[in-house]
Amino acid sequence: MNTITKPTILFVDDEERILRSLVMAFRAHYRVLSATEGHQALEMLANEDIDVLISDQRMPRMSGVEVLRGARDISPATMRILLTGYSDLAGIVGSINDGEIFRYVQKPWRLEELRDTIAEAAAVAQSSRSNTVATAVGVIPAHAAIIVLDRSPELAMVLKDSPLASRVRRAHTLEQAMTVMASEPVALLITDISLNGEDISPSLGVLKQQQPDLVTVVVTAFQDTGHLIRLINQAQVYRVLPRPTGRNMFLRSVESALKHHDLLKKRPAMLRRHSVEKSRDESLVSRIRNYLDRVRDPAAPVQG
Amino acid sequence: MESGCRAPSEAFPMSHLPLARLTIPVHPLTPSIPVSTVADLFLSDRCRDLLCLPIVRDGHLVGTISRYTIMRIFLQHFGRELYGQKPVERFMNKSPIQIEQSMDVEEASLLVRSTLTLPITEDFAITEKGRYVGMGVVLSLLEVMEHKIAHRSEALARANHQLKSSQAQLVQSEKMASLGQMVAGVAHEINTPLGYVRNNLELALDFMERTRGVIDSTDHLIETLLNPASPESQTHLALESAATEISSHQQDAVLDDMRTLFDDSLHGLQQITDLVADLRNFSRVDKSRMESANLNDCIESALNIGRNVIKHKADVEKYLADIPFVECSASQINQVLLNILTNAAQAIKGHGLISIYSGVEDDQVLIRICDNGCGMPETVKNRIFDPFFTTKPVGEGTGLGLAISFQIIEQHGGRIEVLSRENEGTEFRIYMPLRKAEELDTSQRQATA
Ligand SMILES: Nc1ncnc2c1ncn2[C@@H]1O[C@H](COP(=O)(O)OP(=O)(O)OP(=O)(O)O)[C@@H](O)[C@H]1O
Ligand SMILES: [Mg+2]
Repeated sequence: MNTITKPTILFVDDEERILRSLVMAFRAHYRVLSATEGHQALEMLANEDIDVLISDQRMPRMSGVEVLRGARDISPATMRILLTGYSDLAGIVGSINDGEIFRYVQKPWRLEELRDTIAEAAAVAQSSRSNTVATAVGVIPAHAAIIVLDRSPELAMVLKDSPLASRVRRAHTLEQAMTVMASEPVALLITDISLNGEDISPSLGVLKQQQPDLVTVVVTAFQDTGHLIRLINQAQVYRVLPRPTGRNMFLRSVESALKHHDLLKKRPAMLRRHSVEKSRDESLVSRIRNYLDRVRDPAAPVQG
Repeated sequence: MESGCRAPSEAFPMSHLPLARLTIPVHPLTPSIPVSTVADLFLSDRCRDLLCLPIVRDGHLVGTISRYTIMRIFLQHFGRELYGQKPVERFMNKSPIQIEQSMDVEEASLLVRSTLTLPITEDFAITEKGRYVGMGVVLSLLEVMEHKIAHRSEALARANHQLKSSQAQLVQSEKMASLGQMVAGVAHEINTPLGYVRNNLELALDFMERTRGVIDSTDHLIETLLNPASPESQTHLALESAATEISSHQQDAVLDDMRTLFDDSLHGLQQITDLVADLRNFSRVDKSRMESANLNDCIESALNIGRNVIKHKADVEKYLADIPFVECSASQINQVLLNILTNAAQAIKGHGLISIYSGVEDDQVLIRICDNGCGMPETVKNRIFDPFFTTKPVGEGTGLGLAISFQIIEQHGGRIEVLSRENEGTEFRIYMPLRKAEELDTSQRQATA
């Protein structure tokens, strides 16, 4: 019904020229608000329905990650995007773990890409706004598996000592992990980004595309900012933890990841909030899809 | 009676001890053996290398007889005739040098050296738990020692070299780390103006395309109007389409904003230009030479480069007086100021204030950089200029910032002072001399050294 209402978006940046430029670029299709400072932004979020929040990272007094984390509490329906020219590791990890952001966009941006990203985020926000009631779809398996895809045993061992023990499946290769995914419901994938010396982050993105309610926790010593940005935009990784990682922090992250998975199951409308940029690597997509089909199929007639 | 120099070596198993390796298993003499027999032995090939022979009773060394003593006896008139048949016991050295085989080479050589007389006339006897096992040659012992020392000093030289190069690496990695930080910071500073300049250009391009739409539709309208043959419906259509084009164009109101858009972009480009210039100022390679510089400019330049680290930690207040130029290497002074400003920002928990003053005091320029950060206790304050002293976590601080700064200011003939109070703040004072041109020569040589 409210087709004519423009979505509302809020830009936060301490450089007014950035704001001026962005307002001009978006005001034709959106109601555009802007704030030069974090507290002001949070106040706006508390008082208005805002569909998309786009924040800079490095600002005086309140960093972008802090603004995004605040926004998550004050206005969870608002989609969160970081727009920054400074890619420091702490900022990126914070934007994943605390900000739970939808996209990480680097300055200088391409206007067309930013338009697409914001349009997508706005569409998601508006659809989830009209869809806030929990709708249980199908049966939610309360004990969906947790795959630990890792060569070294520590992470699995921590879980084996916890009440989650019976849900843990260990895998040493991506194929083994996919075999598990094909044979039983999987809630959570815990993995490094480099497996046997190979970078598996593109595969994580494709897996997320294949099973949107799959929640991923990455535990890694690898500290490449470019990689982490791709993990946000292309794989919507839920948490990134340093390796070696503290037992408590790890368990806490696993718990909240499982809760997140349940939420995605209960409210499928939420899935769109974590949709990923489509992988451009067609061959990888089809390879993974084929593999999943192949392992799924032979099981079908037996149980069927 | 088998009395001679070298016994078969199996009888004296070699041990791993260094002195055992030096032990020559010389068959000992009995105290009663005649002097002339000893003289013959010394002449034999087997004892050629030995300066003296051991004399043993019941396994215990009782003395040694040296080649030198025998020589002295035989050199006397009728020496051989008078003493040749006397027992060697009468002429032996009753307190020879005895060394336990388990002793280490250094200790042994110390002992030997302390009893040594010139010319060297005696070797030393080697015992094991007090019992005689063989002889040792002083020269071989000293040779072993010499080797050892040479080896050690080589190892020392190597260690020294390694230390130096690892120190250099550390300095290098510190430079790289702060360079990395600086580059990341500057990248942000450049990406911000780049962000809006690019966006503005894309908007301008959009606008141009749409302006072309307006022009095309008005062109078409005019054509239709001027053509007497065009039917009224067509004229109407052209009029309508031109009107929509124009109105949508105006609705965006971009034309009014165009001015701002371009002004902003020019401003952004200027900012990028300044940053690139500042960066060049910072690279020491390009100038560590002395020049006439205004320290106020150095302050601005350091603030620009450090803005990223500083701005989210503190507000900056500047009280810069009109100060005369100072002869200095501006890039090095920039480095010092950046180090101090970075420290100030890092000392602040939450959001604080950094105040910078400049002025003249006597014949010096004084710069004061004050922060209201955590301050430091006396014990820390006394050490902050030490290389590698840091209170920051591993990986965050190398503790070289102030050490390098101190050195730079010293080379300029200036000095740095610190005032600090815990939990209240810290003030760094940099004094730079106002020097005359003729003094420049020497300082230049120092600073570039
Ligand atoms: N403004 C300040 N307030 C409080 N303490 C300071 C201040 N400036 C320096 N310090 C103390 O002096 C120490 C040495 O400073 P220095 O700049 O030499 O090394 P650093 O800052 O620890 O490491 P680096 O500069 O290599 O990153 C610091 O670790 C800190 O404890
Ligand atoms: Mg420092």
